[in-house]
Amino acid sequence: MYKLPETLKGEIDQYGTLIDKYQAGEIDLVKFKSVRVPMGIYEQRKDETYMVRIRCAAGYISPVQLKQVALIARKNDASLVHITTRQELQIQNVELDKTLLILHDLYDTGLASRGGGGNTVRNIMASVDAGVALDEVFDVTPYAVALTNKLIAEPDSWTLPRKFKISFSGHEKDNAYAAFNDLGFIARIKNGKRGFKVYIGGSLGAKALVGHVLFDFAPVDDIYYITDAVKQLFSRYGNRRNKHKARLRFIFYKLGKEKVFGLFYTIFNEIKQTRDLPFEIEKQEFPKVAQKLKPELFPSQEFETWKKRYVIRQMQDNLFSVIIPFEHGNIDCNQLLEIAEFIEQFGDDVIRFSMRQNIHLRNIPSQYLGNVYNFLNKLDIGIDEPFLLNSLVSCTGSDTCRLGICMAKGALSRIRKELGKNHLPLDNLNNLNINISGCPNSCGQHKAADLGFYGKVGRNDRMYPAYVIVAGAVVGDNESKLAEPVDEINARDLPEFTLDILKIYSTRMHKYNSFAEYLDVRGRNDISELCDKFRSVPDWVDDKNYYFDWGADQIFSLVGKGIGECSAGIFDMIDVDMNTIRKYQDEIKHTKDISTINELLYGIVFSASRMLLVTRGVEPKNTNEVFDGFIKQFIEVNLISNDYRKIVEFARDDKSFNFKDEKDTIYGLATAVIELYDGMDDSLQFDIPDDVKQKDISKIKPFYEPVLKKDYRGVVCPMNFVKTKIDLATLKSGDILEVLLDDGEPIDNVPGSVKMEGHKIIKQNKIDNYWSVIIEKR
Amino acid sequence: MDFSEEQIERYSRHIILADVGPEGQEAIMNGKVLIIGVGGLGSPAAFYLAAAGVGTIGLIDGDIVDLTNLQRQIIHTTPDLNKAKVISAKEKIEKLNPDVNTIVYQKLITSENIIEIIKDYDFVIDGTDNFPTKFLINDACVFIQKPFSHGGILRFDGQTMTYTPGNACYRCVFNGPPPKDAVPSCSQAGILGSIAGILGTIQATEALKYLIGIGDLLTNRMLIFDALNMNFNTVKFKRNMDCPVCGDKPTIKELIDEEQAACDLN
Repeated sequence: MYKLPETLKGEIDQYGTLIDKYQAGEIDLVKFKSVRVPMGIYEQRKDETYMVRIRCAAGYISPVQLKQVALIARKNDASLVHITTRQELQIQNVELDKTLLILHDLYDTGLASRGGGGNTVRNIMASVDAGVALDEVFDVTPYAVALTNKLIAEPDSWTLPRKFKISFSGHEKDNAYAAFNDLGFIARIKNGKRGFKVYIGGSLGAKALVGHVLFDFAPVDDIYYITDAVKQLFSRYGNRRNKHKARLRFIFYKLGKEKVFGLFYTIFNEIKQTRDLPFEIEKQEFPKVAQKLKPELFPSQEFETWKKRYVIRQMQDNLFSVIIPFEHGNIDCNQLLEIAEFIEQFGDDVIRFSMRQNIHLRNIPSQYLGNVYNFLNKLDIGIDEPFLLNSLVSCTGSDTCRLGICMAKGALSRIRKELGKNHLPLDNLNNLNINISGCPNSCGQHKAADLGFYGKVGRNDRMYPAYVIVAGAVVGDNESKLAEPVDEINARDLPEFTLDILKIYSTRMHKYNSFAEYLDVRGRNDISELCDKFRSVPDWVDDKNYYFDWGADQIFSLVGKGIGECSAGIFDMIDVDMNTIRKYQDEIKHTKDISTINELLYGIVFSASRMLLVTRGVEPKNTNEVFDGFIKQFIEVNLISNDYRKIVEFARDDKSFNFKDEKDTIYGLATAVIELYDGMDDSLQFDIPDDVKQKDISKIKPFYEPVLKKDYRGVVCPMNFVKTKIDLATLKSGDILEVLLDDGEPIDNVPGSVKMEGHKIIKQNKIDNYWSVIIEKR
Repeated sequence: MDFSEEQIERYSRHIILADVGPEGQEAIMNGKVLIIGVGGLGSPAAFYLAAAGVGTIGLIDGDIVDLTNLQRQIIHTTPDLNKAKVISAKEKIEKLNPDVNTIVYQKLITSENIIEIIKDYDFVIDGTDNFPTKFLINDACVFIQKPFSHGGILRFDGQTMTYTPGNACYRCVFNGPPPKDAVPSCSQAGILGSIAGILGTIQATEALKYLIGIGDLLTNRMLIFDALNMNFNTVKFKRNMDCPVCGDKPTIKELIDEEQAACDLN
């Protein structure tokens, strides 16, 4: 329905050239990726396997296009098509060569993948029931499509600081999550004129935020001006250096709402005064369909039950919408083809993808509901099951996502099974949103859930998969609220927990208007009490099941994970040791007993040694491996000074060593490790140049790369100190200065004086008859 | 930060100080201090500020050096007799530290010219010898929110305070010049020369602290000393809401030159 921009053809050709160059080794992976991802082509967890994300503005696709997508997928040996939570389609498991063929074929079908990924204007969403909902203000679909047409034809839509998400809701229930998008529009009518309430800066991702209200009412003619101004604002003030702090909302965190609004109005006013941005809405007219089908009737109980669960009355007389559910949003391409061919009979305007990863079939005359039922029944997609079971949402989780901690899909299937086999009145829970994410990033949209879960690392002696329970999100204009953490549960007991809490809720729900209200009154209590039941995790020897994630055939581990952008599980683990260090240091202050102090100091060496091993993919099985691993992974590669090697070896070899005498060294070690952690970026890399990452230790440069090096050999006291001070004054806090000093008076005096002024002596090494002193500016 | 090797050596004892350091020295070198009166107080102040490397030192004085000055006005020497004080001082400063830019005003400071002269400086040192000028300096500095150091000496005694905007001014403590008969007559006046040195160097210290931005200035308090018994005291006070110049309802709204005979003490 959207119009492909004229430039797209050329861009696809250029992409093809780059594939050739990449495969010929003429351009590197990073460069290729920077073109590939904004084209909407992602690499899956499995190397050299890709997926193509297809823009479906407002969640719309025509049955003809859908059929083509199925055929294109099949032709290119990509068996799986997936519906995303942003109402798009993805062709999955594609080889790189085939991606180009797919782009060309999609182009011929009137579909584009440009902007499917990267720092671009992403698919523009709209309420799944726009145009058919009984209570909508007006149909927002044409606006979402018109805005798409404008934005995808503008080159600067592909070079933003980070992704830019836009959504339109047709009524104040905000079922398109306008308040949780970078830019969101909720339909309103004021004085008989159409317009929108406009939200800005919302997100469900890390550091989620309900958007700020930018306009209480903006006339429809203004939305292109507003969008353009927001885009410029984002482009100018967004953080392009740190992609973890790049989304639009981070401008708000940094500058504050008033200032950002001020900047916005400046840009907006300027655009309105100087430019004319026409915004034409074409209300697409779909041809009337002459139904040739013979109505099939099913006067059965099952049919009636299905209608209650999956069929929704539209505002149009005698027309209905039907939800076609897909577990995890996945559809086999052959099945998809079958569906597309069946749907085609009902005209062009029959498909919307939902944010719950289902197809909403619309505009079905009542007399044909039997035909639809008959057709779907044959597909074996669980339409005889309560809606709740088919509306559970999860992200893809750690089985295919490089970022995940827990296997969200496995957990979801298990929960589905658990709920299904029991005699819960699930049809009463139709409206409940249950969402699961494998990590704190909200791809499974747990932050908008009534009851949600996100993966984390649980830890006793070993690691086990676990989830944080979040609950109580409220979606709707003026009242939007994110789900909040309530408690935690191990993954093994998660399905049983979910069943139990829904049991309790279903006996009490008549007293409350919503799950959120229940949560506030007594749900929190109920959840915590339930969690107590599951709190203790059996030891490895007693029950190994707790140490396997759902759907996993290997023991739960973070090895191979965490190299992506989110490593929250790893951070959980690191925090355990860091807190231990701090706790022990505190206890040492309050005790005089020497053996206790020695034990605590040993504990600090242990925790400091173990703390960052996980970032190197090392999971020690005993204490020796902790110490040896630390020496190998941190000391031998100069991430931690060799000065600490001795104390770590003492801890390894002789637990009864008198650690008290080495207290300063031990504290120094702990500080060094914590500082190293502080300097670690979100992808667990330390601030080391690429060439240092090579395996050959002899080539590894010291971690503390001086910003400035000075040779003060031959400079007498105190002039050497004076000059060192002047050098330090030119540096930024945290910068490293290396000075060379003579032996004798200079080395005896200068480091001490530097330290007295609050700077840190990282290390001093004697080289022949002089010294190298590494100083970190305070 | 751009020190020459010579500067690093010259100022090394400043730079070594934790509270001064290269940053503090840079602040000094960027500083502009005006010394009003190049006599007993102005001489030591000018010497130390020049030695410290203050970037611009302004000197204003209309007098010429005479023999009675040399007992305490140590920047002037016997060969300088009959030379303008500002010229004499400029020559010494340039010999001591060629880094310093010295600007001279060979004239009396008056209500007409004071604002124009002081406005470009960061800090003002009052080294004058008469009450009308001391009040003129105070009023002008309050008017344009300019920090200054007040100083006064007589016989074996000295007093000094520092004004910075928002704190008590000289008039908060002393409403106005004393009546004529309260001012010592020439026969009563005398001064032990080194007293000028003590007080002038305190004033220079306040100027340096202000430029570097360290320590507590002598604001809202007066340092008073009696060198005969070697007692130093500070007397605390607050800004006076009824002060005619800096109070809530000021009555002095323009600068005036008050007439008063003065002995040439400084």
